[in-house]
Amino acid sequence: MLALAGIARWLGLGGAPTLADEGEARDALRHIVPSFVPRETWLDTRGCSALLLDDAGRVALLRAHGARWAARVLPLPLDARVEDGRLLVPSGERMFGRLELEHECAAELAARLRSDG
Amino acid sequence: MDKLPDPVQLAVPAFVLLVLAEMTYARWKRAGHRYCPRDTLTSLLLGFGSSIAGAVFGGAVVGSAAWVSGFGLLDIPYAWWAWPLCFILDDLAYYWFHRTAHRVRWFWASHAIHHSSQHYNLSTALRQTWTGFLSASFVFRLPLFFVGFPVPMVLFCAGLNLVYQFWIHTEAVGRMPAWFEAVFNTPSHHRVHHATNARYLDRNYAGVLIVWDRLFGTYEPEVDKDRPRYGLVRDLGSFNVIWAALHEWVGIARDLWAARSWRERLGYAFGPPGWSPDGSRETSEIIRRQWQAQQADQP
Repeated sequence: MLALAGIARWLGLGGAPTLADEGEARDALRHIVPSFVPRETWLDTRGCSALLLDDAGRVALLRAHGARWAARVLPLPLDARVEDGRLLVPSGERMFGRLELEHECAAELAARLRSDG
Repeated sequence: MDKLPDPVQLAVPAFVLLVLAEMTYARWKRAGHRYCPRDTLTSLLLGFGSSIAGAVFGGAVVGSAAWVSGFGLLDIPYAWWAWPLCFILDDLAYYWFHRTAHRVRWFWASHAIHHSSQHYNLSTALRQTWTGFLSASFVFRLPLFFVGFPVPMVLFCAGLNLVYQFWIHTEAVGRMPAWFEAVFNTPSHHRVHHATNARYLDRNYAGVLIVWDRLFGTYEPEVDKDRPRYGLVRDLGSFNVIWAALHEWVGIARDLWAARSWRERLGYAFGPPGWSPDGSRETSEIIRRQWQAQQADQP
């Protein structure tokens, strides 16, 4: 089993996906949660995650999961905080983990998420 | 009881070789996104766990089959005509098991593991249930024993059915010839089954013969402009093997704990996946209706 997974890695298969721009983030989320209509999109500077807000006061956490994207939609407010310039947003699910977003306006966004957006 | 070989065990070396071939093909076609090493490892570990669960509970399943056989209406021999008949009826039983496994949460809790990968490749086929015995999935085959088919014959046909389903878990094959697509389950039909697109949800339950879906109104063709997206409606976002195997059971337990009435308890356990008393969650039917409404609104 380990050998097969190792061969997949050796062949260069998979690899974490990245988001080139906000449009790609919206597109990736639309495929996962078609009913979510984003009003604002905040993209990680490295393109490995995004945070999107809609008019209904909900926030979508979009992050890489292996070679694919995974998302959670949560209501505001959220227990967001900033560490080392990174916004950290818990999903509330231990197995899904938290969203990490590197952004120059991380502190401002954290404050908005802690209130009502 | 007569002893027949287990087709699945015999096929394991071929499974490994075909996974290697598909990986190489993906690399050659520059389609590296079709595989993810961690996802593949998770699939293989889940397959290994399923084998262990099968070894632990297999005796009880065979015992119950033998017990029901004792009441068999007929004494069907190992005749040339009995084999294809058994295979076809077993495939029909599989269709109804599989349909129920998607429509009733109790059975879905065991089957969700098979849909938990966001990839669709031959390693995905190996993600098999650990808890089929708990769900009592084997009851769908009991009618065959009751009719009078020999237990080894039914188990052999069931093994062949499972082996057939391995090769259809791939994006490397587009479409088979039209006559084949009309009769048999194919990679195209089964991509639809594994997709979470609203158009494709809860469709194409076939094992070997797609004719059951055509007959019972659950057939949906793959549409080129709507590429399948694989996984669960609410993806796990985790490669944890135990979580992939048991997450839906945990969800049922939490819901039952929070339920306020027997109606809610029954709904959470035996309603469709996504059922909730206040309709705040989404079942496949709700997702499909929302999508159809969106389609109707578009000019």
